[in-house]
Amino acid sequence: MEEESNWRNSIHLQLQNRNKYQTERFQDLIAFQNKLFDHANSLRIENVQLSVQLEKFKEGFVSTSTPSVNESRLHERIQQLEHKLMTQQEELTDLHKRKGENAQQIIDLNSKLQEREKMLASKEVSLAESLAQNQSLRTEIRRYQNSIKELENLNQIIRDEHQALQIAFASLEDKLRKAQEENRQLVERLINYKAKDADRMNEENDNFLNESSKRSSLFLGSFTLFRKRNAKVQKELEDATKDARAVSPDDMICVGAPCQSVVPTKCIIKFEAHDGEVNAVRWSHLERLVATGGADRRVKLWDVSKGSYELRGVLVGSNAGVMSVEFDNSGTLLLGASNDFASRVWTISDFRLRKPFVGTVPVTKKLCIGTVPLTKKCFTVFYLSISSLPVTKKLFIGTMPLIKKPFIGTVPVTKKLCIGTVPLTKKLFTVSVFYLSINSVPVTKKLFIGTIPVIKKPFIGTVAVTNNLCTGTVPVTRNICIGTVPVTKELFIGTIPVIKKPFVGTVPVTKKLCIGTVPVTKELFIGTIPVIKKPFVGTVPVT
Amino acid sequence: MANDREILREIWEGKLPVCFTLNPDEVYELQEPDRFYLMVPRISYFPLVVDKVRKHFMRYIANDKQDQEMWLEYNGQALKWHYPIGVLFDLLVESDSDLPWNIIVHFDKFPDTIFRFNNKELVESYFMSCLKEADVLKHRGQVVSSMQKKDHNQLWQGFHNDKFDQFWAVNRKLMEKSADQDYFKHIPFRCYFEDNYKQKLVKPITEDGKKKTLSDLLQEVYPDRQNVIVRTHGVEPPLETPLQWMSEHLSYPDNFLHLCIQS
Amino acid sequence: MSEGTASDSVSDANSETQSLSKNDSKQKVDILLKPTGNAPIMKKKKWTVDADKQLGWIIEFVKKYLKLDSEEQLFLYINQTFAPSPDQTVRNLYDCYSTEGKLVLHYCKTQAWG
Repeated sequence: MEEESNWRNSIHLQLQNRNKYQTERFQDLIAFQNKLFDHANSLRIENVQLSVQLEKFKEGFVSTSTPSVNESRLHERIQQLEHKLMTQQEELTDLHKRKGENAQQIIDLNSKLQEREKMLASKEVSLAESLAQNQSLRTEIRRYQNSIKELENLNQIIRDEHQALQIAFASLEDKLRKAQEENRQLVERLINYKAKDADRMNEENDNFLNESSKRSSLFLGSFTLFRKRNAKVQKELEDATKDARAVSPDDMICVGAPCQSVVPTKCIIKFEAHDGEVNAVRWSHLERLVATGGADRRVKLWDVSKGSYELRGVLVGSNAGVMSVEFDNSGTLLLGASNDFASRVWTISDFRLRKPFVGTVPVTKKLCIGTVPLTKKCFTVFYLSISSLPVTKKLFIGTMPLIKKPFIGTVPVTKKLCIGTVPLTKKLFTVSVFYLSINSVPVTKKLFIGTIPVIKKPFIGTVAVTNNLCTGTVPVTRNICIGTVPVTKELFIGTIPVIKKPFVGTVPVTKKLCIGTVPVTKELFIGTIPVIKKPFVGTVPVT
Repeated sequence: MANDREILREIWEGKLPVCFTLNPDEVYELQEPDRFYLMVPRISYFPLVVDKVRKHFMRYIANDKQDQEMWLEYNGQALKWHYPIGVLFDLLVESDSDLPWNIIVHFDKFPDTIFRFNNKELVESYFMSCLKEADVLKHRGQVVSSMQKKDHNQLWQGFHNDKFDQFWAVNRKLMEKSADQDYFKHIPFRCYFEDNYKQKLVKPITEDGKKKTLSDLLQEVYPDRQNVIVRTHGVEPPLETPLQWMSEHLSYPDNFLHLCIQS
Repeated sequence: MSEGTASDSVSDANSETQSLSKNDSKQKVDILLKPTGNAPIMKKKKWTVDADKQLGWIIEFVKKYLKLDSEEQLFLYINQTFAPSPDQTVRNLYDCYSTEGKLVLHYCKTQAWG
């Protein structure tokens, strides 16, 4: 420890001495010197500033206090002022010049201003005009608005009226429906009466037959079985017996063994007649001419005499599909009934339209056969004899002209129903009118040309198509099948003579052959009554 | 442990009076500039204290030389910027009678024998580098590398602003011995002889555990020289002073013992 | 690893040092130069240098070897910790910091281990 403190103390002492000699001795001195140094520095700077200031002051003093210098100064100043004066004069002239320019500008501007004012005035005038126009246009608008209002009122009134009328119309329609209903009932009643009438007539016929059979039992022996069935035939037979001798043995055989009706099975010609459905087909009375009416609004005439078909002519003029066609007896005219509510007549020779008539039946010379579509759904078929036919637009219930049988002839016909009729002569009127009700038609599209034998009674109402009573069919499609045309004189197509029944429904083509419904001569009856004097094809004379 | 604050204080407070004179050849003004007196800390470096000097003499030199770097000369020798002032004084000045220290200021003809060391950042990085080197010698560099940046800052700021407590608050750690030992690994020192210095690995104790003294160090560094005088901080420490204590107390702030050897 | 002697390293032996320590005169030491950071690699790392050379001399040598501009900086670090002053002699550094007979110097172009 001793040792240690020795060197330590030595160092400490030396350090203290060092600081005493080297530091403390000089510290204050140098600090003081530094202070003085800074002081002197600042004083020096101050001194410099002050001397500068003094210099300035001196200068100022000199300039104000020395007169000699002053004079020259004054002179200088005068010169300066003169110089200034000069420059200002120059400025003055300059200003004068500018003033002149400004005046000119003012004048220009004034003129411009006037122009503008003029323009303004004109604008104002046009504005006033525009305003006036505006006013007038407004009043016009008001006027139009008023008129529009009036028109609206009027319109309202009209609408009201229209409504009222519609109501009235509806009630009227109601009334109409009632009236129709009543009408229908009346018709039914009439039919009933007629039926009763017919019954009564049959009864009378029976009685009459019975009486006569006693007298001529020889001839009628074989027919006794049938006597009761067909009053009409029996009655006709009574007349016929007088000429019964002319009947050929063949016929007799036929009579003796009554043959069955035969439906033609073979199709001879088949061709497309129309663009669309074929609605009607009809034989001509005189020639082998067939008229067809189709949905294409045309009636066409075909020549089928040569075993093939040949278009004879096209009868145009219908506005809707032709539903029914008919020749007249002379073979010169053709009647077509169309769905446009009109029936038209053409001349066959030149295919020209004669006269369209709507809903009415023309009264031709003798007989008019036609159908008039009333509505699209309802056809009225009627026979008209000139003498007896009332022709109205209304549903027509065909009346039976004359003789013994009442005829009821209106049939609602849809497109599917075809009604064939045969008017005869004044004397004999065999109307085999039959109704085909929809349910009786085998297939929709097919036309039937058929006959209905009426035995005891005139037939009223619908006939079920059974028992080969149907002769021939015409498909309504584009292909017409003519199945009913006899090829030879001897052959009948589609018709079957039935002993027991009068035959209706075929038309003789020639004088001898009767095809269809129209007898060629007065003497020949088709379908119903055998004629004694002439050979008859298709019907069976009853001896 | 550096616990002898008395000594540390005395060392810290050591200052030298310096008289700066502008080289008369470089005076450009008519008037000769006044000399500039300054008290400079021994432990500091010239680049940190000569700002005022430079400012003072700038006015008196030629304009084209004002941008040139200043340098200092004493007795015909250029002063090394990176030596502590105390070291320079101990090396170059014979006796205290030469005080104040007359230093001539130059702006022209910068000598190539010294490094340009004019800005404070360079001084700082040099100073910190020395600290690190010393710590490498003392503790294998573990203490300084474990310090944070702010500790480094505090060391430098304390030193630069002459704040004894601020500096020693951190420097204390550097002066601590390693946890498991009573001594530093090696003693960081530099032995100055004339124009150069020597550094060697010297342990504070002998292999058999005896404390080494200043004379042991001299023996190791200069084995073939006898009777040398060692000066540091302007004093001559006794040769029997233990190295460990010397390193703890007589080191400059860069943690090195700067020993000036005189024959 | 090729070894070479830096050019003109033989010259300029410091007379003072010589007089102080005659044993060390003309002593040569091995140094190993290693790049750090973005510094370019030296083809030859191992050098033998005159022990009296200062560190500044090595810095200049390396800069020249790497063909750096004179304005570019180069720093040499020891132990990857501190940068010795340029006037430090190679001998001092070798005495204090050599390992296995070699003084390892890391060089880089920016300050590292600040």
